[in-house]
Amino acid sequence: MARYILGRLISLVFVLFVVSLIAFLLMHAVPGGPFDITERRLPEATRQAQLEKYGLDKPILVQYARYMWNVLHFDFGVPFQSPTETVTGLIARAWPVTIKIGIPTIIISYTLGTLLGFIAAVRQNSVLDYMVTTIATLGLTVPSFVIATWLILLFSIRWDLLPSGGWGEPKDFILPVIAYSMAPTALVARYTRVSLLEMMNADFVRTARAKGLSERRVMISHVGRNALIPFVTVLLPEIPNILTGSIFIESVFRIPGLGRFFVSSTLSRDYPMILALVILIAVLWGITYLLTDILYTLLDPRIRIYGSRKAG
Amino acid sequence: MAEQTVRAGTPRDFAALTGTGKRSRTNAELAFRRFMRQKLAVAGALLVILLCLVAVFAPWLAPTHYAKADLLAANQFPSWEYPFGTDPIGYNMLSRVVYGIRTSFTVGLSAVFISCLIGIPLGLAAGLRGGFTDFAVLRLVEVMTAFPGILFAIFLISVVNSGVMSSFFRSPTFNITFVIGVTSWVGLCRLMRAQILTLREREYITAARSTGANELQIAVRHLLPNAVPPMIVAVTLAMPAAIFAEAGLSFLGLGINEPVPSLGKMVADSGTYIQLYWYLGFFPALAIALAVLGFAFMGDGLRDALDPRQT
Amino acid sequence: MGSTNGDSNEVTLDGVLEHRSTRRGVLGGAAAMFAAGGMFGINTWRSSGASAATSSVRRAITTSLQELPADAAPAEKQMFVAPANLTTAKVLDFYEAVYERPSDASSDVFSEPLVRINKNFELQPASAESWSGSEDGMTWTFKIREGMMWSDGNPVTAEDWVATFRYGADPAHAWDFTWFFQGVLKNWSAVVAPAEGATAMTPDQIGVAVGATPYELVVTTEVPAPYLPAMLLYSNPLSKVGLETTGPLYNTNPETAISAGPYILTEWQKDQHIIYSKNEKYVGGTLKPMINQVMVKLAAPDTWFTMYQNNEIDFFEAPPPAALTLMMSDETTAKEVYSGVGDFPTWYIFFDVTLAPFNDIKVRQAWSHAIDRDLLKEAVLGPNGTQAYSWLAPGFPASQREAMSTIQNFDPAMAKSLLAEAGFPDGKDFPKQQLWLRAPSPLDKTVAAALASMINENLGIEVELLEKAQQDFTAALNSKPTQIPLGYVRYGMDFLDPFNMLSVWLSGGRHSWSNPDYDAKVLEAASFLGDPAERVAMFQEAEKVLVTDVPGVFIYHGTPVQLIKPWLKGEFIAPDANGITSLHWPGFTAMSTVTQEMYIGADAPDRS
Repeated sequence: MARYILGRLISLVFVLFVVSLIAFLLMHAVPGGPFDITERRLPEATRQAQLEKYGLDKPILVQYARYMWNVLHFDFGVPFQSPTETVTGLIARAWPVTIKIGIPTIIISYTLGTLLGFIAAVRQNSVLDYMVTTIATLGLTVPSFVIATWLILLFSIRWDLLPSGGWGEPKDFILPVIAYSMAPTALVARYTRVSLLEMMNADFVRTARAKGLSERRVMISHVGRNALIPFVTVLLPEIPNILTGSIFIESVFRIPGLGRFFVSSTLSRDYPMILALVILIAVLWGITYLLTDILYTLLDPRIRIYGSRKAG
Repeated sequence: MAEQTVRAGTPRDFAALTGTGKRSRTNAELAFRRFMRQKLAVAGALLVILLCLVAVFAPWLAPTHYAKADLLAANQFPSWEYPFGTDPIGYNMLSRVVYGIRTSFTVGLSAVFISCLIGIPLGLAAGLRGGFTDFAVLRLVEVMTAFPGILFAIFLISVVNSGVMSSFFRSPTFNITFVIGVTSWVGLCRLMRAQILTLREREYITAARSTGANELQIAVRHLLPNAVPPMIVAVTLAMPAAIFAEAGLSFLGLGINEPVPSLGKMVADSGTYIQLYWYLGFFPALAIALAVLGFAFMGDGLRDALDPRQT
Repeated sequence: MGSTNGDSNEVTLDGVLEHRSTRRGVLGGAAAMFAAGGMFGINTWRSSGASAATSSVRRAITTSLQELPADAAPAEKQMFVAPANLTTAKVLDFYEAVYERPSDASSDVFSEPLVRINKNFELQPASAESWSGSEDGMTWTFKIREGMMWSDGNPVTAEDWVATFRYGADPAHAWDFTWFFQGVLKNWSAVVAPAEGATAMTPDQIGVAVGATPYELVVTTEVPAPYLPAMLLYSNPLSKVGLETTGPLYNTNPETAISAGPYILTEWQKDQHIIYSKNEKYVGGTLKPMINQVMVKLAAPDTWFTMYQNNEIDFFEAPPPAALTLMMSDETTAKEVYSGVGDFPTWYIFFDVTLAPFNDIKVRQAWSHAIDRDLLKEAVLGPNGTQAYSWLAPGFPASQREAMSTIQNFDPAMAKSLLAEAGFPDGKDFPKQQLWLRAPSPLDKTVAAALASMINENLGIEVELLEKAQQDFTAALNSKPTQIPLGYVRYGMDFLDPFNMLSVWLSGGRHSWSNPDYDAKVLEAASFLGDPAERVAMFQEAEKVLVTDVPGVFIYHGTPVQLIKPWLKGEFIAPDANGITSLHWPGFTAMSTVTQEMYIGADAPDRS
């Protein structure tokens, strides 16, 4: 096991290099630089000075090498969007805000979702099942900013109960978390329902029932454990998604989190920030998949790490 | 008469043997019947068919061309004359939504097609050949997954729209289809690979090998047909994802350009009008929701129907 | 100013505009207690990364520099709150970066420029008590007011301006406004844009120097420049000592902030808000504001209207069309809608005249006759602008709208025939066009869509709309050669002189049009030192060349709409010489007298 984990971590480092190189090359393939926001053209000498200031006049591979060298010393540079702080400083300030929204979202959506999925599975093909399934799927189809805007309209403008956005007080959490939880709840509900249904009709469950075990015992000890496998496959990776923030929710509710930087960095060619975000995401995903695979072995010893396992 | 699961021989032989005179059903027919029994799945399928028809017959169904503006009739609320209202420059929203469905379906289907073209062969190769091919494909998958999807899509769209290889990337619709296709093949690839890995250990494959069939024949005659059902489900469920991706990119202003209608863009642009002209966003959002619901329910139904152990 | 919809304009949310009650306080507080107490404990919820100078800093300010009127809120509550775009709030000083300041809300209050303007755009002394120009118009002497002090104890002298201008010219700084003084200040171009082969000059050689006394600033120009004092509206100095000790970013942190103006930076919560408070060490200055604090709320522009409806901000400019309709639909809120001249912006379609098919003047003329500006005004623009047939907006010096309105007038028949003469009858074979848009607002998108549809209808040409982010657009526009074949954009003035607006179209500028006759006329008029009326006539001739050659089709002159809450009171909102009421450009900054003409009424909501 330890060897396996080590192997995966080395593979992760390799992936980080490749991903950052691709990002770097892509960034420079897009025309325009980070400083072209003026109404009229700047003189050549000024433009040249700007590039030199940020080391952008060197050949691309040289820039990449310098950047990676700094990264190895944990220096991610200064974001062009906010030159008075460092990239690490910016992420350290903005990411916790996103996480503070993300954690209640995860808790609420996973518990509520599992509950809804359970109800739908146990009462398969009944009206209740249809209702839950439809509502759950709808939660996935309505865009989050539409939900967010409607919530603000109702709770903030019409009924004046909650602030329309901003950050700093506990009541600023309520609407964003509600809006943000809709989609994950739906996803969790759908997958819980499907995997419970699969399990409920599986051979070993029929055997357990045939042996005379109570329905309850069957559900909990046999179904439950095996249902966790697809859960882990699909739903564990949802967590990094949620933790890296929703651009729309953070924009509509004016939350100073990390979400907006994904788009704003790309559009404003903030190279240091883009690279840092790419590396951050790659690390998050790498760890998530590693955790997923480890959980597989714990849940079902029949599954070998390499090779045959059910679709997922 | 009791239905029987066919294990060997053709339905005709069986009927002749038992003398029932009634042809028993193939697996496909049984799956179809199971599908039809699930109300939501049927509803979903009908919805999808309906929307496809709308997409195909858009020019006949839409009252006006999608780019026909009538400034003096701007901002009309829904009425008999304008069932979905009009937008700030007088476009008939009904026409816009109908053509928007056409755009979404075109982009969605084509993007999924491109994903299949990339993902399925890669997954097949990885599963069958193993060894270095498998290693290479897995690493590629890892890199693709590690890259934040939005960033990659935005990059790629910016590069593609900037005029690189402009003879290939000539229209925004094609560009966005290409980008979505190229960024969504990973799931299909992993699924295909996993299927192959599971199936190739099965007994009937060993049996086939022992009769002397070569790898290619085994792949085509035995593996592929059995790998297909989950793939059908996955492809069906990939459509909503593609539609959403197009909507999201259009929301950011990176997708389809006006005046070609895009449901996602319409929803995005309606944000500022939500308090007043609610219908500007409502009908496009409803169309997206129906499309996604339809495919999702159909996919669910297919999954349940194709699983042989369902009662 | 009715809405475009006639009587069928229902507002679907009744009660949207009711007077606020205090329900939010009670219920919001209850919910907060539940959340905080129940889940994670109180401490986790405090905003992270707070520096020492944050929550406690809203110290009680007990007096204002000017006596408060009877209906004003007490001095502690004199706080003006305005929104700024999240992405352009990096620095607060003009000479650090112009396009990265929150100028929508308020900026440049930490020192006083040499001159400022009032709401009639009249130049007035500010830091400079008086100024005079030499006979040849190339040497200008400004007498700096004595007694002004920086908050770190140093006096304000001409040295500060010299240091500031040198910093602006320094290529290593890469100031984003260097073009402004090119060809004007002596040696400026030689420093920032040296000619091929010539060695660059150093910043200390530019034509800004201390005069006979430390309180005399001498500015020398390359050509006679009667417009120089107007240009120096943009002359908020940085502190020389500050530049030397902390560096040019001293105003990004309350701990290193220095101010010689009526306000000083006291709080900056990244991505949330910035607060300026009354500078208690403001001495010898010319402004006497009644407002004691300014809060700049950082948020994406599409959230500003919601904030306004919730009374979280007092003012903002350019509400989207739906917001405007909502506000106009109710008598009470309609009073909060104002429309002014802004910075006299003109919106226009521009062509790359070096490429086919727009290198043919007939094609350009056809396009100019195909746009029905009257219909656009009626159906789309409303109070947001007026029809434009020429470049200089009404009210701007040398503007001659009436005289020019027949050149690019709406005439679909003429448009069609011109297009046919050019070889594209009914638009046949005309290549499909893409109209580039720069980070368009909802109004911009609507206008652009209307323009595309008019071109299609009247000329048979297909036009696709390309929405580009700010950076993509300006990068493409400003590259040489320009990469935008067809675009739609605006330009608003930088200072009140026809030379400024007309210089946009000079050869080598941001557009590819190059007309030596135009250049000659503009430059000659710019340096003309004789009779002002004659000078105006010269500029008008130049404009005629511009309008006739159609390098651009002029669409509308913006009259930016502003939403102003009724508790923003004072002289600033009284009508100006033309009867216009608005928060005049450039807004709440030391460059404008507005800063001391505004106070918060007692009916303002409590924002503590």
